[in-house]
Amino acid sequence: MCSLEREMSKAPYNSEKINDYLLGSLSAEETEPLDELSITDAAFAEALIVAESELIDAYVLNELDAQTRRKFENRYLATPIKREKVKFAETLQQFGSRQQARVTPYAAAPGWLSWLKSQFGRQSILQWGFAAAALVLSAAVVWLAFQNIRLRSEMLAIRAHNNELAQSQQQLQKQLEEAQRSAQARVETPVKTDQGEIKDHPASSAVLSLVLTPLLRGAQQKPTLNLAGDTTAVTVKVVLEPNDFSSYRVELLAEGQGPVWRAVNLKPQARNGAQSLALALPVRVLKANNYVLRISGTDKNGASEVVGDYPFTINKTNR
Amino acid sequence: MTASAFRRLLNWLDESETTSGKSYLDLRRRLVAYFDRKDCPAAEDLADETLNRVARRLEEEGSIEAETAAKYCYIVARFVFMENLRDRKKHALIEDREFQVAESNPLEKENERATREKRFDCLDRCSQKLSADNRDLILRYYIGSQQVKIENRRSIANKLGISVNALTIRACRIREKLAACIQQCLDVE
Repeated sequence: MCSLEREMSKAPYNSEKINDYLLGSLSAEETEPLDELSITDAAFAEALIVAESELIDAYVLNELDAQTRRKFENRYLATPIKREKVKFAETLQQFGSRQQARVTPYAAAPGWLSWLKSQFGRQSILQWGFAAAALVLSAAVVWLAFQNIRLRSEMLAIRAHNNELAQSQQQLQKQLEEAQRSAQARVETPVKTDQGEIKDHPASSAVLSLVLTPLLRGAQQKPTLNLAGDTTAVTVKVVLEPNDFSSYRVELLAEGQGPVWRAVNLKPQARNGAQSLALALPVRVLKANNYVLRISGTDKNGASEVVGDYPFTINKTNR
Repeated sequence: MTASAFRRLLNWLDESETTSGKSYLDLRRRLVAYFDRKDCPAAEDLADETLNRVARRLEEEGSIEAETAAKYCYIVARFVFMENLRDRKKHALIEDREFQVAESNPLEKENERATREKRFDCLDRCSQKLSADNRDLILRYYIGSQQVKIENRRSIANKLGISVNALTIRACRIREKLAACIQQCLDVE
């Protein structure tokens, strides 16, 4: 057992607690002592690094259960450093797959071969005789042949498993593309009422879509979005009036609060001569309130100008 | 921070007049991780701010009475974190470029693809800098997923005559080296 393992066995934490700590699931009282240990205790600091790598790898390999995955995405991926760690893990996994062909499985233990070599080197041929040497060699060759067959069949099994994995990856990729296409369709097909009200898509409460057009800016009734407790994302497509701005800045202003979210350097998408911005608003900033999305355009010289305010209302539902 | 203040800090952290700077690097890495876990957007800056404050105090007072150097640094780090949190709450503004629907922009998609390829190149180069044993270990370690991965790691551990836990720790140390090398490589390019 190495020193780190010894340290962990007597430490006031275990891998489950470390994972909860990394995912921000512990109370402030539980977090504080671990914060301190993370700076003052070398063994704990190392245990954290190991646990974090394992957690990220499990995320990248899609091995986390749904709840942990949600926590990971909502809480863990909050900073650029952590997002970079995930990208590194993805690269490492893909690199491992690419290198797999170059790495041969561990062959029979070299100790045997070296032992045989050393024995034969030391013994006189006259002492042992050709017959004994041939016998031992034959036994070694047969043994190695069996080992070779066993390793080959293991390799074939691993290859077959990899093929299965590749197939299931392709299937997942297809499913993902279909899901993205249907999400895109939701963004482009808002449910409009006669009053110009825009409601969330009834088929999915997890992702809500909203399209804001210049016409709606002057409408008497603001678009309303009903946000359920299980909503995980709100996508907004803002249709822009024709202009020459190369990029945009968007500010989300909450009534009585001012700006609560901002996105900068957004590039517009152009389709059929019309420009639009695709946004994903973080659900955590959306409360039951009146909001305005303020769009400012930035020209090639860096000059900025407000091009429009798009008001909407958020209602919270218990669905 | 002046050169003499920095030297004094290194000696204090190592509790020695002759220092390799390892304690400083370890502590800085832990501080960056601490601030990052606290979701501070500029974790590196806050870690440096913490160490600057400790160095200033050392310079002013000549010495610091504390249980351990790391414990004192943690106390300072907490203050730095609280101040930063207060500042961020005051501005109560979440600025985030990541929430843009990146997939919808072909240019960003292309950039992302280019960065991914660059990461591969860097990883290839960095893995060449490892010793043959470490390179072999890390390549084998990341083969397979789920049961294949578990079996694979068990056989590597058996081969090396160590426990799977010890193997995980060893692989993690190599991975840390690789991560640092790749970051450097990406920064240079």
